[in-house]
Amino acid sequence: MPLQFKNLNVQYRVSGSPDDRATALDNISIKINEGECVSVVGESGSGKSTLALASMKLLAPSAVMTGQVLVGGTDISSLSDSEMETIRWNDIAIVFQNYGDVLNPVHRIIDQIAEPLIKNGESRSSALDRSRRMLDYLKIKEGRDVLYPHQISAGERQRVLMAMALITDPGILVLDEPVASVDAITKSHLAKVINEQVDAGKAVLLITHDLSFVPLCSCRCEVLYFGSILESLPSHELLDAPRHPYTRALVRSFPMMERAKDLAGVRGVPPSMFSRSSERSCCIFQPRCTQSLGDCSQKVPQAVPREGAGSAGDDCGYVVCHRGGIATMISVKDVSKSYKDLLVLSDVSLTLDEGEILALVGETGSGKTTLAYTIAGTIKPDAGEILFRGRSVLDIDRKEFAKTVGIVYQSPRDSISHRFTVFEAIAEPLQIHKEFDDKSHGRIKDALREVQLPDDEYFLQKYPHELSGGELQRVAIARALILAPDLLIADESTSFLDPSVQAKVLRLLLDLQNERGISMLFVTHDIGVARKVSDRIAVLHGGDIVENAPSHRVIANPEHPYTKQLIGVAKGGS
Amino acid sequence: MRNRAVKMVAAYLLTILFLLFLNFLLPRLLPGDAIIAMYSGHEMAMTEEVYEELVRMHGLDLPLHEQFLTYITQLAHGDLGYSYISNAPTAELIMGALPWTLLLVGTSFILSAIAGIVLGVESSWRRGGRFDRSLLTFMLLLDGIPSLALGIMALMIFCLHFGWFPSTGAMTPYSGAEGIGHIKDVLWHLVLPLATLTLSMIPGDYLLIRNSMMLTIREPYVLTARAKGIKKRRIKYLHAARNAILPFSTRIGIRIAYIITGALFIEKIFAYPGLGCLTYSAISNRDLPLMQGILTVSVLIVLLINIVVDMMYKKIDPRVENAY
Amino acid sequence: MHIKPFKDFKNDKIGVTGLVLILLLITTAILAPVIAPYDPWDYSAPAFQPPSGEHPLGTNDIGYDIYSELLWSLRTSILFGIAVAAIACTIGLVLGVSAALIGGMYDMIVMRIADALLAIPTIMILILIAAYFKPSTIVLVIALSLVLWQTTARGVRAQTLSLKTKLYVKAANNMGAPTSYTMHRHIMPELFPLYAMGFVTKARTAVFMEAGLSFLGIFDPTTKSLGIMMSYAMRYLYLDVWWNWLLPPVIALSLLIISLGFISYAIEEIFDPRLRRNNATPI
Repeated sequence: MPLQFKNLNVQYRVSGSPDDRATALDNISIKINEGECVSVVGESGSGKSTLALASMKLLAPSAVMTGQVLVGGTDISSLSDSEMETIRWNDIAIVFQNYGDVLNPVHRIIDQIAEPLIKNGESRSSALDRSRRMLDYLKIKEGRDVLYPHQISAGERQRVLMAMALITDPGILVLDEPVASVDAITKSHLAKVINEQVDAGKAVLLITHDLSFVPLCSCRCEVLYFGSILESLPSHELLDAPRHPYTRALVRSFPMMERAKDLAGVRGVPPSMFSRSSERSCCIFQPRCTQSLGDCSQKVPQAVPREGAGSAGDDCGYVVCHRGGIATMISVKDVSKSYKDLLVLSDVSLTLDEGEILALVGETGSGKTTLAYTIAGTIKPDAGEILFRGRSVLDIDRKEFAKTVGIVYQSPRDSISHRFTVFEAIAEPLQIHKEFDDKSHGRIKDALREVQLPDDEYFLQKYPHELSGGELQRVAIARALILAPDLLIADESTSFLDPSVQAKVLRLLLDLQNERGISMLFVTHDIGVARKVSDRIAVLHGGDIVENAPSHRVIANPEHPYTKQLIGVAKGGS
Repeated sequence: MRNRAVKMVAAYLLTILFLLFLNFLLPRLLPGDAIIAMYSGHEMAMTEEVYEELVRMHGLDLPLHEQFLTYITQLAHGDLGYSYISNAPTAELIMGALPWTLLLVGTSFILSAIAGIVLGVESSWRRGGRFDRSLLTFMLLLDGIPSLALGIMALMIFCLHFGWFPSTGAMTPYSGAEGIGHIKDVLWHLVLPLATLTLSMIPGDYLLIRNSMMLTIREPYVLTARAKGIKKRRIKYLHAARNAILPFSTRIGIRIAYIITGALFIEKIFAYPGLGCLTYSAISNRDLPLMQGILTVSVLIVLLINIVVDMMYKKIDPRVENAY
Repeated sequence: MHIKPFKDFKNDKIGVTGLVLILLLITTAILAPVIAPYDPWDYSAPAFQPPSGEHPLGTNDIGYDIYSELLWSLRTSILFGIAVAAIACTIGLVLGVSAALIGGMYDMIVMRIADALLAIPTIMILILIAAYFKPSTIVLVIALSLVLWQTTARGVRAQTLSLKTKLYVKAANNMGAPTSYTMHRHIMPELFPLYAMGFVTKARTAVFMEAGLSFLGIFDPTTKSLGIMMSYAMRYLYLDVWWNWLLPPVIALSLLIISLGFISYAIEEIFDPRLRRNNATPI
């Protein structure tokens, strides 16, 4: 039977006065049909557990619930406790988080599983029999069932909880972090069990923070952020193509086997308990969003249809964002460029989203540098067009556009004049754009601090030849970022550095990107470095883009032979 | 498993021996003379010969270790000494009084445990509500009134003022009643002492269970039980109380000691012929052998109960691997 | 979790009631020599006088003023209770901490003795001692303390053992702190709740014991005691004196024990935050 939440709102009374309320869930609407599994993804404090408890009307007395919870079509929000007793476990069952004494320590396991059956009037022997068979299905060995909860392992306990939930064959299953505490083998077994139950016609609500488990079992995924759903998307797109800035940040924070890019947290701090309700007047994610506009702090955004990776016409879910999710910053369409008779770029198309790190990988002469500078507006393409936030780059005033793009070059010693002191080097963009004033001194010091260099007068007066390669590259980065550009182009920025220095500079770039939310174009010949830094890799070969996919996909399943070759070489083969 | 049981029994035996030794040693530590202390309250002429005779009678002229040996052997034979004051073997006197005490204390313990558990469970379940708050305050007040005071008040009100119940004894003397009549008579005499003793015990049990339940109710498995749609009463007792009982069981020994203390006073007040009353007369008569005998018996009983509870504990709490 | 005991105690109605009551009783007791209208050891009026303006509670069978007797008896009970509680708690604290810190054979011996003592009904030992020795009050105080120290010792030992392994204690030791510093700065503050609880509980038991033992006639009959008053009053039940002679000590005793019970309940609630009444319950 289906489970549906309609405009569900849950608040907790914090103190005596009725006005002191903390919002746990704000206007949640989710529909799970029979034979469907929907996962709800979120961090701790997002309200996931509240959702689970609300589905069975088990909220604490201090909770105030409005809206509807429809179990098989019946609204349970108005039912009494004794009426709920029949519905609980017969129509809807829950697998709680396996934490602490979730099973009664003084009852045997098989008794706890048989208990709901006996409550329904079944005879004790028949109930025990069925329980025994259910435990078999969950792969609990014979003889383990007469033990007590403390005598079995955590993995077995999780399976016992699952068996207990399935014993009455309820139409709806709610799973609260069912694989948080189990090993890989149990995990895959439980995934199989869940899929079998879904195929048998159950409606399953899967609550988890394990992003790799989501596509294993569920078809749809709802992303919950402190009581509000920010994105609803097909599960298989979660890791590859999140469309909401928060979802993307979440995916970036999740350790995946295939992905080598370092983890980055979500910048900023979580919202306080009291600012989560609908009475607020802005987008709940706005304080932490790196692409927020004016509207975002003025109005609460509505849900808009989401562009998915599937074909048009598929329901790809929705996104709650004024900008419709992650916006595209740069759109390159069929760009070609040749030098004399050499075709450097031929019909190249790609996109770069706001806040995305795209690595352009290729050997010398592949056209990657040309492409980067074409995007920067320095080189004019022979054909095709380049759109920056919807406007053609050629239409934008060059000087203005230069402010939005920061470039870090390969050789810092060459890109910074040997006559300039550190101070003068970083001040140069300000001078060029006539923005140098009394505040600039402070700005330059801030910039130095941000790249983790000293900001005292002594350092400011140093000349390039007095600094090491790594320090100088940092100065270059500070210079590139001083005008707060939206796009940073790193052109082979680490090739000339020692590995240890390279590591630090890469780390710095990643942190800056996460903090400021700027988009990054990372040009390199080293696919190994590319995968540590980028969200997406585009491989250029002979003027064409032969591969363009999320980094972990490219590394795990390269499609083009050239990519395979690159990876093979990077791994140490011939 | 056997090893553990052996260790446990050994520990208990050691404790018993220790206590017996204490029991044996105390009178012999009296400042001054044992005989003089024992018979100082009695009107008799203490001449040299009588003194010598008494010393010999009590075996006080033998070396210490021999005395102890005699003491132990006597004990093993069930001989608890002889009360010269009442002119009867101590064991006989004790055996005459023991059943009455067992009846009083045993029934009272069970009744107060049941009442304390039920009230504690229901109170904690409704925690903060009117029922809980008023019951809690009432129990705290009741707890403060010592069994002594309760007994006195009960005596005054129900015996003297209303005359509903007898004020002394366990049976109506010389009634010669048999069968049902006898039982009814005994019950009639039992009511007040039983009621007072039980009342004095209930608050302690109630508070223990209530506190334990308040912690148990928060445990995750109670939420699990609710989610399973189990009926409230079953959750309260089979799921929650079943766990809340555990701290209570560990304290049964202490509760027994406590109830015996209370029984002492109640028996005296109602002249109920149990061990308590006997103790009182032993004290007033300065009957040392009798007192020693009573102490031995009560210590043995308490220890026995402790052993039984210890052995049963594994059944109650499957999480316990070994108690010793 | 940090607990602010005094602040919380102020908010606890039961605890405050208990505290107020006991303070009242203690003040009365201390001031007994001052406020008692007559010397309770002296004949002051004919026997069995009913309550009057001069003798608010009348006189007893010998002609002593009952009210004065009451005040002095209260004094005895309270002094006795405090003395026993203090001595017993201190013994328990010292033995418990030393057992935990020294460990080994010493620990085992102390614990075995504690176990053995726990099994015996306290009153039996007291009765025996009292009957054998016909002791003075001081000896009785010491005797009772010797029987009551085990619960505190056990609790203190367990707490100290667990504290020994706590990281912040180890950190202090690593920083070079001598044992005295660790004791004073880290361990003692944690033991305070146990001591406080133990003190109140033992005081309660002591008051009860004193009254009970005097009632049974074991105590020195010349001291003024609530128990003795009660036992004498009971002999004259057939006269109509029960309500001015028997009842007052009964009520006084009950009030004393109740107030201590309230305080101990409040202390228990405060130091175990899980038992707090205003915590949200899942039910």
